[in-house]
Amino acid sequence: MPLEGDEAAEARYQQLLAAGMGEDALEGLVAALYDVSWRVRKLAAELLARVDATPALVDRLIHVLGDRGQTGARNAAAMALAQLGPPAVPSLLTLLQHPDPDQRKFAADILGELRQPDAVGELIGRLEDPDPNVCVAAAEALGRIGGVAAGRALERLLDSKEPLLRLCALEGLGQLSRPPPLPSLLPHLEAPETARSAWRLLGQIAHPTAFALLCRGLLTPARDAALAGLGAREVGLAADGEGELKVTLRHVEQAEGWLTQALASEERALRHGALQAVQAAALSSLAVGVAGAAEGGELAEAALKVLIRLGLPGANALLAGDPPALTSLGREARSVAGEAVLRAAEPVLVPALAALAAAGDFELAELAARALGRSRSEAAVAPLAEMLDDDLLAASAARALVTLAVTVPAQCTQALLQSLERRPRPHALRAYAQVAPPAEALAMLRRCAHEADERVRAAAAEASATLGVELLSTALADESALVRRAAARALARLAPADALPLLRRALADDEPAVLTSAAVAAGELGAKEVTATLEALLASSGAVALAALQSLFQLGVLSIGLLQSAARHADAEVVKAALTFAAGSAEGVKLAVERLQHPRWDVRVAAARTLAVSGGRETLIPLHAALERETDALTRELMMVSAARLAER
Amino acid sequence: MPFEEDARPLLTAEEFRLLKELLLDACGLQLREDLKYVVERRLWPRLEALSLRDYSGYYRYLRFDARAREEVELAIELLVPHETYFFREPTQLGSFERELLPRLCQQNASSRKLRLWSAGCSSGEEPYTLSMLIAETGLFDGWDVQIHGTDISRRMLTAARAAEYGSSALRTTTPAQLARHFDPISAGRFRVKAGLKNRVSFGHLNLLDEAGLKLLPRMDAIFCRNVLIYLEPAARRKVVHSFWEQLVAGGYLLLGHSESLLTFSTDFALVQLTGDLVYRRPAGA
Repeated sequence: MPLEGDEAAEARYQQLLAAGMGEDALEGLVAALYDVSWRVRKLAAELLARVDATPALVDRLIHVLGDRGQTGARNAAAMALAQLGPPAVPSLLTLLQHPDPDQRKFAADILGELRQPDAVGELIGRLEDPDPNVCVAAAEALGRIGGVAAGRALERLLDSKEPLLRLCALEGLGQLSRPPPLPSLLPHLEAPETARSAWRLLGQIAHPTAFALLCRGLLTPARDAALAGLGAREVGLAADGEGELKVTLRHVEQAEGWLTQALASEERALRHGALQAVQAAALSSLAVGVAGAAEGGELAEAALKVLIRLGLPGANALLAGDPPALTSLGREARSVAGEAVLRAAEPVLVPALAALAAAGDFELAELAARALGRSRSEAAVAPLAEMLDDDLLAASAARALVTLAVTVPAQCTQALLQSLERRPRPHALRAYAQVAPPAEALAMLRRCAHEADERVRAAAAEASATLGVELLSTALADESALVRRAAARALARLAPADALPLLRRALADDEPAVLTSAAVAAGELGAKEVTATLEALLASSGAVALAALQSLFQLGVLSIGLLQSAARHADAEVVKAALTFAAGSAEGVKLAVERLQHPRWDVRVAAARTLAVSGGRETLIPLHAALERETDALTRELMMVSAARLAER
Repeated sequence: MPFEEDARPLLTAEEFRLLKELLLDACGLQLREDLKYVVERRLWPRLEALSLRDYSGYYRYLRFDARAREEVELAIELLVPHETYFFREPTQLGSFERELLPRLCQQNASSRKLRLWSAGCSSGEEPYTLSMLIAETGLFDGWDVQIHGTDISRRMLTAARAAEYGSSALRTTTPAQLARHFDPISAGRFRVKAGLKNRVSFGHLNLLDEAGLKLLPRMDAIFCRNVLIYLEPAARRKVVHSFWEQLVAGGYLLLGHSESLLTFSTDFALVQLTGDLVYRRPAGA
């Protein structure tokens, strides 16, 4: 898109886009690599990368690489070559020998991008190039490509006289997760040019000595690098390691301030290292920073583990202040902090949780409700009761009061009753029916069954199964489908004799939602009397057919014919359920083999899974054929698990 | 029945893919592969609330339950950050107030009408902030000003209509702004003043819903901050096209500071303001 006044570049961009990628367009695309606008050059490179990678095209692009003074065009050509893949490799290997060091560097860079193992030998040769830039590019490329030979060459490069090459070697080895032997690494920890990379690589060495060195490093001026080294470790802290780190941190000057900064660093390894340090030193005062380190999601799991370890003091720190510290965090950090608070919900946190609920943030108020419910404290009833009157928070508050009622039943029941007397709401009614004595609950349900609000009537119907058959019967005749559906769902909790006439009525409803609930109830009730109706429902749309199929299976009346019909259903979930239910039969194996060609990836996975459970070794042939055809990576991966299981048979 | 403390079920790769596909289809939401753990954690409370044992059950609920539509909205609400507060991104708002509002005042001097749209308005802080900025300029006194806030989450819209806020939403609001634009309702809670509230209207809208978009008037400026980054490219392109269609010629599109339209070609022109880059539908287009 143009800056105002840059319409000409935009016109060239659009022209290039419209010209497409035919043979005739090739010249135009190559010429566009020289355009003054970077957007046009980028587009040209992208389009060239999609053209057939003929030797002529590769040579043309390599020719552009040699065009000195045209930096933009050269970079764009390099970008196109890097996307052309293996066909570009032979010419690039030749280019590695070009007399112009710039050309050799380009070749090494592109080969690194292409990650072609065939190039390793030639790139190793370039580590001796008279031009240091070429050496560096070759080392970086080897770090990208990897493999035993590349790793060994990078290790040898650690002895280079050039600091830049030593640095490249360390970086490359780090990228390959292939730390060198400890003695070869140690000298690099001291040198300012290589220290940062070397400490990180040290973190990749899973050995007590390496860990001890990292701890010692925290007491030196290179402490940031050592901390990042700790963060480069992929394994968690073992108990003895944690002890060692804790002792070390006692001697670190102004550790809290330093770790606070590290937790907020842009560098992932540094943040990760700081998380481990906070955990070891149990610095609950840094809980907010720990949660902050989760921002972006990458370290969310690690941060959560630390917060859980910080326990109640950590939760207290997250909830401290007005507004609570938690409110200042970004979305992901809040979510992690929220889960930690939830797990630490103790009675002592109730006042802080009540303050959080009142802070005006809906999401945090929901979290506060959940935590208050788990607090086992009578003091939590009042703030939850207040939330019952808030339409947005009523559902969370009602659920929390049900949880809390395990500890303080009378107070929770009273709070729910008072709320219902002020204004009946569905969530409070459902909760009240669960916690109140049966006679009192029934009285309230009867009252609410006549409410004008259909959501309240539906809640009354749903909750009335164990309390009032009459209420359910009336609800099944309600004009609102919402109420009838709730009643149908509740039928499963009646005694079968009471339920059957109501079930027949529900199964004759014309609303799919009611039919779905009734079909589910039929299976749960064991109502074989309605088998024929359920069979007929298999021809319905997804939700109804799935419920009918599940119930027929539960009733033990699912014939092969019905399974075959379900396996042809238009909805993938019905097909998957049919494959699951068919797993015990020879016909199921046949159905699964056929479904290996289903257009939906998840059905193909389900079919493979059925074969893994029921098929004989002979089914490996169609499964392998399906794997050959499979182009979707995840499907292939999941199917291979099934194939491996089958092969063990 | 509440779950045990550590009973959060694992989200398998297969379940994650199914949920991704469903949400992509529902609203163009793009969930990156590396967010699997984040998705697992954010949706867990819903499994708990619905008494579902695993994410396959949740997927089926989203597909088949009679309350599926509400639940899809809730899932989107949980997965898409809607972190918002009054006067967020002050540099951009300052440019809007000092540079764009005077231009719009000039552009619309004959009609004396101003239409703004906050697309993805969450709980209402952004459209109310716009209402406050307009009041502060004094340029539009006596004009017909309407600000539309739309969001995919009905729960957020309920909160927006209530116009009541606490400390979190007011974290960067100065005491002077608080006094000018809010009425206190209880300790730490404030309500947007009636005059400012009345020119903001709210509506439920999935930005991919073309029929829904047609119900909105043509806009002089659209704010869509930190929404496009969560959409997959095709959906993003479609939404930007809708914005183009929805803007009057010469109207402005303001995105979040980490968003841009540079990754794909559009007919919008870039306009450099003192503190911000905004997009403009050219006057003749």
